Amino acid sequence: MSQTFPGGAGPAGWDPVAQPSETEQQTPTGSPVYEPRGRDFAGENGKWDQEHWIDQHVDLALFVEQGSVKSAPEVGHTLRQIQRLNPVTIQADVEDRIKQALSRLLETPVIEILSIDAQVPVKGQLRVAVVYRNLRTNRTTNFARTYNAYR
Amino acid sequence: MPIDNLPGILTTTTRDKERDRWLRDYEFHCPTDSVAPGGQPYIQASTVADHMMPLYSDAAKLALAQDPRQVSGAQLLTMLSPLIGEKLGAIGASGAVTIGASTGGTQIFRGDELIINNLRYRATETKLYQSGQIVPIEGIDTGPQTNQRAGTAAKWSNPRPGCVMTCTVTSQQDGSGLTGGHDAETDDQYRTRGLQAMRNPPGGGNDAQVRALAEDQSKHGVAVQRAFTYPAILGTGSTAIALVMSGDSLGASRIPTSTQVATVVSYVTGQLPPDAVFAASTLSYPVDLTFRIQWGRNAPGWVDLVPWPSYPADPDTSILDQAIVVQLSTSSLNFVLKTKNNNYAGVAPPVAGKRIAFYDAANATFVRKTINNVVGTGPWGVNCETSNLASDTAYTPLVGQRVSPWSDSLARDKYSTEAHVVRNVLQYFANLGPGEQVNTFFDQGWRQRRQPLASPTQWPNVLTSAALTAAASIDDIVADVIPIEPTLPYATPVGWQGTVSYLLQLRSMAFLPI
Repeated sequence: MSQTFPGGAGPAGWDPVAQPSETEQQTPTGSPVYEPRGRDFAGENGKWDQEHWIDQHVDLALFVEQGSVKSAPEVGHTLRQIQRLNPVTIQADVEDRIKQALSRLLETPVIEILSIDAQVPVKGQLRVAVVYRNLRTNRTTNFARTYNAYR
Repeated sequence: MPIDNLPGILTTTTRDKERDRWLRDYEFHCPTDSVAPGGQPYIQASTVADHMMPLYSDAAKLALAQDPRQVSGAQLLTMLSPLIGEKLGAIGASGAVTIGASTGGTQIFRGDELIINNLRYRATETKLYQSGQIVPIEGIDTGPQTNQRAGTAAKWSNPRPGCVMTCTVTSQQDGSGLTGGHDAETDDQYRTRGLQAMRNPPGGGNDAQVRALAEDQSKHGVAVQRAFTYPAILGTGSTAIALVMSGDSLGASRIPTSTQVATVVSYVTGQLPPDAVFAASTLSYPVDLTFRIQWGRNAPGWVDLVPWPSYPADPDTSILDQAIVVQLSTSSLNFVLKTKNNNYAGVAPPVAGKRIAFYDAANATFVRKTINNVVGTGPWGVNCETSNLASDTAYTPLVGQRVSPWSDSLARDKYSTEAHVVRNVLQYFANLGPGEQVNTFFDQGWRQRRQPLASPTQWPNVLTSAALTAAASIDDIVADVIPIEPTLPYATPVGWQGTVSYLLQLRSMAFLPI
């Protein structure tokens, strides 16, 4: 920052650099929490709930179906593309698809997957539980969701 | 960047750049948040960028639409119709029929209908005609199919008393019958007419208005391709008009018939003060072209290993003097060839089996003749082989016509629109304008000069090496081409002041190896 004297108060053209102000302690900006039921961000009274951006990335990767956001077709999972819920292969198949959806976060790496669990509780339903650790906050999160309407 | 280096087009951003700009701004505001792919800022930026693209596309389209050369369809109509009106519709052919009548003649009324080859035509004048007189007619039906050959039988739908029911299409000066029928104006033709009106705004009886009136086919019904004027050609206030027709097909005559000229000039003079405008005849001035050519890798080359005739080996010998031409032609298969200067020293004679080519102007293509035997040591009497379609049997070579060696690259369908060396040259000739009517001018102004002024791109009347080379050059079909005849630049001869303009028309073409 500098202070210019246009004329009168100080020598014209003299442009001394002013002293910097005290550095402020900044908290990281929160990212709004994605709420899949309303397909919107969660919050009340005009304020969005906040979470860490890595957790938001995981939410978007596992809540949004890949290709459903036309402008960002690479975002999301492919769990609904599983053709048949075969109890023998479902665990491996779901693990592959979850890791693919989170690949960008895993490669950096900013998360670590602790466990992936796939179950078929009733016909046509897939229940997935992912436990991961956010390596920036060192917080472990249990993400669980039931995907309906399988053949 | 210097301003003269600017591209001259509206520069717009791309979708990815737009998304990155959004993300950059986002990062400025929230430096600790992530803008990596997969997050909410990234999705929002991508969505907004997609929403912006139609706007940029529209902006780019509107920017291009400022230039009438870039637009077509409804946009072109919107741009040009306030200036020159709507597109011209399809027009029927015009000309005349020769009628038979009983003693005392017959009264034909304007609008009386005739049928020729199941197409409808009507008389354009109400008048008493005697037997053997010609009656001007025009097509009620439209399109190029209404063009009819001279001598075609016609029939009155309801003959007037004293009129013989049948009649025949009258032969015009150039041997054609009913001409000028064409389909509705295309975008290209409409654009050309609009640009012409922008370059030479008509109004107040100026020569541009005379041309605009003469080119208004919707009013006079004659398929004028372009009207040329010679302002002040016989003094102040006098303007001569020379018309050039569209031609029924590429390579066809563009010379108007006397009926067509009379119809147009009668319409134009009716719109202007008397004695201001009069017709000049447009006369054909035939040109023979010779090129040296090397065929490209995507085209069939010369069919004979040693093509005949070849280009004279002696560089001091002018091709104009030692060209192989037709001396005498008795039929399509028997003719006599000679060198133009009758000097045979060092000239290879034709031998049996060689395949040669002649340009058939009526069909706008080259025809092949295969030499069967040769008599004499120069001039050479040539007889052609006919078995297995070795020679064309329809076309009789013209006296004085140049001979080319045969290549399959020379053959073409008359109606083909594909790039072809013959078609391209014909296309160039189809855009030539007539020459001047006087040799010297008073000043550098417009007086007595042909309007619109000739330029290499605007109705040229000078054949130039650059233009002919460009016309005959086609990527991958022609590797190299050199125009060698006539001597270039070749200007259209000057006509006669106030009465005659010459228009260069292609009579014959020849191609020799490089």
